[in-house]
Amino acid sequence: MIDLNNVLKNSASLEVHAHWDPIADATYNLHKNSPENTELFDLSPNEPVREYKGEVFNAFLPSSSVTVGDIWELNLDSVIPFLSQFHPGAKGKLRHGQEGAFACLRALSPDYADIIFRIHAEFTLATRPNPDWKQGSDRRRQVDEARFIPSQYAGRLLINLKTGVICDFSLALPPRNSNVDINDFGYADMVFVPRMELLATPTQTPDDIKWRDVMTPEEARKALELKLYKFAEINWLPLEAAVAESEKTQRPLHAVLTWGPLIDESC
Amino acid sequence: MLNENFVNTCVLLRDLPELIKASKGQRVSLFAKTLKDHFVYPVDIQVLSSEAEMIMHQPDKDLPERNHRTEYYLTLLASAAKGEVIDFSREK
Repeated sequence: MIDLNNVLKNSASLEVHAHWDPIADATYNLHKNSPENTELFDLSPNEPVREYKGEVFNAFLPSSSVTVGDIWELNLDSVIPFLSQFHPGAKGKLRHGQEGAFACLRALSPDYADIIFRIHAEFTLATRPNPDWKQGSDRRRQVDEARFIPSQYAGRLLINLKTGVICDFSLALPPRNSNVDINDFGYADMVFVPRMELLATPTQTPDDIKWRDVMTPEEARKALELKLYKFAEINWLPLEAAVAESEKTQRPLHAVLTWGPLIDESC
Repeated sequence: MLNENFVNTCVLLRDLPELIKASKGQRVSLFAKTLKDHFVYPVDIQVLSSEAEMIMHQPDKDLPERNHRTEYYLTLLASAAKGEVIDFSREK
């Protein structure tokens, strides 16, 4: 068990760089089907570099003692400001889907703690009055929005427990072939953004930490996934593996066909 | 029920053309083609036999409203697990 409450109290400020690639691929090319959309979805970081005080990284730490494998919920009011480095329209309140942010203590040594986390968020890029809205109808429809909805942000925080130094901080959109849902005032498209990442200036990251307790990054990511989606308990296989397994076991194949990955928010 | 009685997969529509190419294997190609041929927009659910024959087809848009969805879906799956052929995709 470890109490991480005071570990960052003397932590130095950290410079964090934002990287945001243009949309590289899309199903319908909604992002460039008009001059307005070309401008709307020509996205780049709001602040390419921002300096953070060490204490703000407390947003990713648990409020009570934890052991490796424990998961805790993050306060969206504390973590969403990090995403505003990409765009001021960042918010944790989603129009649809599974809201939330969770972290997991992945590994612990006498000197280091390695935390991974997952955040669900979206960005409001622009708003306008809904021309079809009528008094008395659903208030959420009063305003039309153009939105950018990433699948998730996967992050890591590595802390030196002795010095309070943040050795590594990153937060990134996983680079899968369909990883963002974009929405232009009612029309939608699935797109691919190769890189969207916050990355701290490299510090003194050690090469070979001798962990006392550890789980693999895959195990930790799966634990976070299960916290967000009950249906992550289902053993989903890629089609190639599922076809082979069906042949081997003679069990029928249950297939869900979607535009985006089922176990994230771009679907 | 799903882990015990079925092999589960989630397929992205954009990946189907590549999966249909024989380079991924004849059996994968056959399954991918069956899924694509029956697909109903925007999200579709299909249960195929281990020989890629359709057992159950349920477009998501035709599932009942939220309160009855789970119960209805479980009934469909229970039937499909027994090999009973159900196709509600053409009823509406």
